[in-house]
Amino acid sequence: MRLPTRRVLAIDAGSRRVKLLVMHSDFGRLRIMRRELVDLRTEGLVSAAEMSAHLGSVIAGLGHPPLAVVIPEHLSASHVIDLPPGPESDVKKQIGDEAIKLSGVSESKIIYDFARLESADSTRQHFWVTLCPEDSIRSQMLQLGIDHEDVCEVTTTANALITAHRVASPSAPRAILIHLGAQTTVLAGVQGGQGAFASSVQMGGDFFMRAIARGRGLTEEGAEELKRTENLFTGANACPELIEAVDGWVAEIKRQLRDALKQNHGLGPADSLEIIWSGSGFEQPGLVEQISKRGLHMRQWPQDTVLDGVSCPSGFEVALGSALQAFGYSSQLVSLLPEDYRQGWRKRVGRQRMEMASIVLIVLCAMALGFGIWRKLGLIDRKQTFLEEIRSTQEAADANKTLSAELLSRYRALRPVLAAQQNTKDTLKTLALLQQTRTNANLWYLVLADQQTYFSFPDLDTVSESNRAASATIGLDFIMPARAAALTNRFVGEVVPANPGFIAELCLTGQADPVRRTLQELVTSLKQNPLFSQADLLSDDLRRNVADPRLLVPDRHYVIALDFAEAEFHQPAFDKARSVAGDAAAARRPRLGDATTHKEAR
Amino acid sequence: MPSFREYSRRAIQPFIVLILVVCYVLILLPLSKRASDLDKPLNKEWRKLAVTLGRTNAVNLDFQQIEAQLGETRSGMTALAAAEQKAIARLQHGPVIRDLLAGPFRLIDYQNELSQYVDEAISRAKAQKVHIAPAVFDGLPQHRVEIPEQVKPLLWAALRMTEDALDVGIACGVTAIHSLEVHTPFANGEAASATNRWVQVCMELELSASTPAAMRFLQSLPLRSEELKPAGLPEASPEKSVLLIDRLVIKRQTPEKADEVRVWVRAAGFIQREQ
Repeated sequence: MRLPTRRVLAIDAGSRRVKLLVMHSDFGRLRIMRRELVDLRTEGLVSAAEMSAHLGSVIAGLGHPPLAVVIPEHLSASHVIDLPPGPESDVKKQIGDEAIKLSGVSESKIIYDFARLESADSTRQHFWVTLCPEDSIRSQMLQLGIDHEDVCEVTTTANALITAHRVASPSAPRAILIHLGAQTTVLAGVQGGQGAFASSVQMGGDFFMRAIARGRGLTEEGAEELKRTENLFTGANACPELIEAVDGWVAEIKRQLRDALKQNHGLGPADSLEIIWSGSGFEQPGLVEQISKRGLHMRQWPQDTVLDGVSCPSGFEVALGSALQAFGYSSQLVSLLPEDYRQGWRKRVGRQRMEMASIVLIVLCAMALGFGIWRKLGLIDRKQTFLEEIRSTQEAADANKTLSAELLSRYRALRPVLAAQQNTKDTLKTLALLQQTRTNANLWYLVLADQQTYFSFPDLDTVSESNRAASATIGLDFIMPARAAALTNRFVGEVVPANPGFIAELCLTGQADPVRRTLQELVTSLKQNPLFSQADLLSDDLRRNVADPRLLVPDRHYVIALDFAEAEFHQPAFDKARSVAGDAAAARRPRLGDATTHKEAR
Repeated sequence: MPSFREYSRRAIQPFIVLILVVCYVLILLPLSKRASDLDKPLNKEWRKLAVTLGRTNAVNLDFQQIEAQLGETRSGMTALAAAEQKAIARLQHGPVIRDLLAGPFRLIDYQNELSQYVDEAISRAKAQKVHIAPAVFDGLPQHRVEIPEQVKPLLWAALRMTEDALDVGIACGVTAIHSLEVHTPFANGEAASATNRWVQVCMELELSASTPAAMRFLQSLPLRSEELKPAGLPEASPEKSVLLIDRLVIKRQTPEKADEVRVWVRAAGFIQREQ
């Protein structure tokens, strides 16, 4: 399935050789896919039927591409027509009338086409008109056996040459193109890249071959072989009959050129024109030099790059020109395609465009479908993965919940043991530490009590002097009834207005400054011990009535609060940690210096 | 007239369209339905997980954090088990008490042991010149009729702990033991719960002693028998219980006795129950 007119098979059918050229266009980039030169005699394709069958097999082998057919120049005519300025519809009618006049008396319908020529003369319109009897075109296609194929272009040899030359040498504004075939010599004038004239002479390579045959008494095949292989214009092998024939050919060409130059003044003098030859007839050894001796100086068709890297193969200039015309590479595109073929071709192009559009649509749908399937598969995969993750996480959460409950339960059971162990360890360390500080004879401790017990005693403000005296006499018995309510069934971790730690009451005797210094050093050394998170004097308003008043030294009695650093086992378990810890924090003894909370603590 | 080649080329497109339609109907639509069907279990499982985590309005849940929490909980469980094993090893009673705890409780045996201990304690106190107030022996754990039958064997452990506390005091040479009060929450049914693995026994002891004797007493309470001698403390019964200090008040006595202190201590002992 290919895009319309993406590929063209150009057929240049001569009397001796058929040139086939397959050209491909990839979005404007031209490529010659295949070229084939069929020598009819060598291949044994003598009859039209044989040639038609061979051509049919080639076309079928190529997948029936659109065809561009070249009509022999002698069957057609090309002219430049001058018309006065007028509307386009009148131009078409006038050209039609002129075409009928130019065709002369013919029973066949005339097919013509024209292209406007660029001209500096604004008072006249110039048109390049090519016409041909329709019967000649159809009989040519019938002879080639391509009447049932898709023919997209029919053009003449001269038009094909002009198109090929324009593309090959766009910088050469004026030139005469001479194409020497087996039976016909085609002349085409190029002016400003456009066709200026076209004519043909019924003298070709066969004309020279027959002169050799006459001069040497050879058969046509022998003369053709001699013509191809030997220079018969100079030396001992010189063939006077051939030289005479060539001279006649040159004279005829010169005459044709004179006539053409007379009618086309724009071409300028003949000496200034570049004459370019092409065609297999010129391949005869010594021919071009002999023609040059007769004053007709020519150069070979340019073999360099033609267009987009496409080189013109020698002998395929006409086929290349017709293929280029089929692809639209011509400024004066004239086509002699019969109307039914034209319509058939349009229909095919339209159908192919529809098919291409359908294919594009199908491809888009297929891509959309593929994309949709890919997305859905991805979505399903992601959802399944996510579902697995959720289930896995659910299992983990359930396991965590169960394990946490078990952990909490076991911790709750064990926490009193751990708290008691921690408390015992810290208590014994505190006792040892305080014993070490008793090196100063002026310092002695009156009371050492854990904070919870200490704060269960009544404070100084609520105990009268008489009661304080009484408490001093009965010792700890005084606190037993008071603590009965507070301490009975009280275990570690209970919420009381105290921190885990101890309270030490002490006395220091001596002068004020040494006492202050000693106290400062004591508190500092205790505070630096990692056993305690805090060690400082207890605020007076938090003091309790515990020590025996008889042992007190006035103004030398101090109370130090020691908070244990390790206290996590004294906190309730995890699930109630926030609320209970919050209650405990609210009820806990405020830190010294936090004056705003002292009252609340009391 | 179109050729066979033309017909075959034209037939390809409807065929491809047919394939696309078949693919749409047989592949895409079922896949789409399958994808939609997954929404229901997905939402259900999501809601269930959100409820489990207590975040019903959450639009985003950190799965990795949940997995990490499980790992932390397992680590915590391992650490707790290790701590529990250490605690058991330290607080475990001797084989005699363990046998008594495992066997049936007989009041006659208990009463004999109680009276025998009182006699021995008085004798030892006299020898060590330790004054023990008569009320102290009234504070020893007594059998009561309201104690649930299944926890009665725990009285053996409570008695053992109390004896150990008094023995340590006598051995350390305290001056006098003024009072003793033992709290046995299990006697009130608090330890009857099958989930409570540790049963706590609290005793409040009030004594007078010189500061060194008081320090020896307090240091001896939490140590096992085999740990006393290396620590330079008086020896005790081989099955001595570990008693932990819960509350403590040390108060200097009269100005006349500068080195004499009054100690009020609440010690806690733990009995491990078999689950």
